[in-house]
Amino acid sequence: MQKRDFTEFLENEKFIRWVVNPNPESDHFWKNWIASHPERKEDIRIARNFLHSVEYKNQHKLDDLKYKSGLYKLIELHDSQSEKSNLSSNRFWKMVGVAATVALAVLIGSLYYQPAEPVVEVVTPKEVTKQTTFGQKQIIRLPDGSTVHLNAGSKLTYTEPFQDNKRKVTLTGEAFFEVARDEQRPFVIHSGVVSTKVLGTSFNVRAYPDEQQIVVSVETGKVGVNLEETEQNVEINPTEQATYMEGQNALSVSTFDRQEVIGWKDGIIQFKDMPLSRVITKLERVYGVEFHINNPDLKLEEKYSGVYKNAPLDRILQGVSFAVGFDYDLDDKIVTIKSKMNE
Amino acid sequence: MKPKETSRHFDTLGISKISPLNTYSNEEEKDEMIIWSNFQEGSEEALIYIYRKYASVVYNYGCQFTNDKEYVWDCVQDLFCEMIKNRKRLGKVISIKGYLFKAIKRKIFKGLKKINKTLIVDNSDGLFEISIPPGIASIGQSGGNDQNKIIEGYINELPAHQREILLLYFYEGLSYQEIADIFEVKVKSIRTMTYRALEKLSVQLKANKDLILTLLLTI
Repeated sequence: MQKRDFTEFLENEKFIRWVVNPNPESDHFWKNWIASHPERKEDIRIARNFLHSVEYKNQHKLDDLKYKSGLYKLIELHDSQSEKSNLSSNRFWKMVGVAATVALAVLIGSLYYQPAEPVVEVVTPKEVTKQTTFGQKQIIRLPDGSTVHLNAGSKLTYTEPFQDNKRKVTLTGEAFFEVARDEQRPFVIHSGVVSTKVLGTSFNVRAYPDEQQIVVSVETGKVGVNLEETEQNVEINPTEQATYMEGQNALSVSTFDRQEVIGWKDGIIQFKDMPLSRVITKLERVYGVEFHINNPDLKLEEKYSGVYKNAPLDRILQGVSFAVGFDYDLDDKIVTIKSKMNE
Repeated sequence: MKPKETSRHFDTLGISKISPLNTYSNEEEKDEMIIWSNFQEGSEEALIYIYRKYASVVYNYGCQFTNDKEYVWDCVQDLFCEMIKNRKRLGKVISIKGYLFKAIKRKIFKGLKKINKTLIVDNSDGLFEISIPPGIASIGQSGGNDQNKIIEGYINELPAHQREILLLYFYEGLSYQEIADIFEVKVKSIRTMTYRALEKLSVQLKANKDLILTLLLTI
């Protein structure tokens, strides 16, 4: 029996793979396929939308405490299993990194592991630079066990190993930090005129040079933010963020929407009443494309809202173009915005 | 942020962009086979990677079978512990996610039989219920909610095992082969079951075609 509606695509494994987990090859394949089957374009669109919409009705989230205690238990078991476990300081720091915010656990851990003979090793400090281009993200493990999710078009520099009992890094762009707890060595992030100081917590720093603001948003723990010029210090807690606006010379504290601010780390892109001009710069950064605007009537100040999870660029463009009312061409890395044809 | 009005061309940082499209979502999914074999050789980092990435996903999957969440959490922890203890004896794994799903399902069922808990198996409420929420890629049009509810209703009329397949396939992104392993049946049966579920859905949707089309075209 032949059925020629969108469900046909839902049976196709190759299609599903492409939608759920696209890569350059599958993109290439399906773009070609659509080009040679224009009559199925609409069905494909429906099938894609359908696929992206399906989810569990009852999502059961693992709570933080269970998650962390579970991990800690596994690490303990793992260590007891590896027979020749050499308790070098390196290993200790790895553990600290994992336990991150479970301060007590770390404390106990340090009682056990601290006394192991110190590893005497002369290491010449070297400057490390990690950089992402537009369209890339990177996860970086720092020598102290902290983790940094570096967003697109961003740069992180630090000295390895960390010097002078300080963990100092410099950030341009945006990153989410999960800092391993170490009361003895504060972790300091320099981003332009704002520096952020913590002992161990997770938070997001956004400091793109082309934006006139720097924002520090806290997920867990306490974070101290310092404005160099005025020496202003604020302490912010989970769900709070400190914002520095260029020209204002002051930090202001407010609450924030987690998904909107930190969602990028999990592949979520959220636009919330965002002017089209900012939607475009965001897409340029995240997907590494360039926009050309070939539509004199386009209103760049028009606001757009939408949420996407792990979406290929084309899908977002479909949504935005439909809402705002334009046509576009996506050709390799160039997006051309055109006037709507039938108007 | 500041578009150049004259050229109407955005190049905000003045950097020429070199990175390819779509490296974005897959980067971390690469090389799972290598991670698995590192794990088998005793790498702590590989263990942490697997736990971070899958512990809560596996937990959520397990919770679809029974309301006893504490029991599911115990199963998840046991599963990871056994993996560590037996890591050298475990075989090669192509999809870590597929492996964990299969293992947790087995474990949950086995344990439930042992402690004689009643497991609600088919067609019952709450198991693998599917939601089609409004607001994914929303463009702020009203009226979509009711229509979403209609499709949701149809999907949830399917038997639970079919809903499970659809979620594993559409949402979790597992392959037919991986799903077949989880169900311990042949790939062909999974294909048939998927086909049947979609066929049924398609027929119902056609009866409601205009309504549904409006919905699907606007999400």
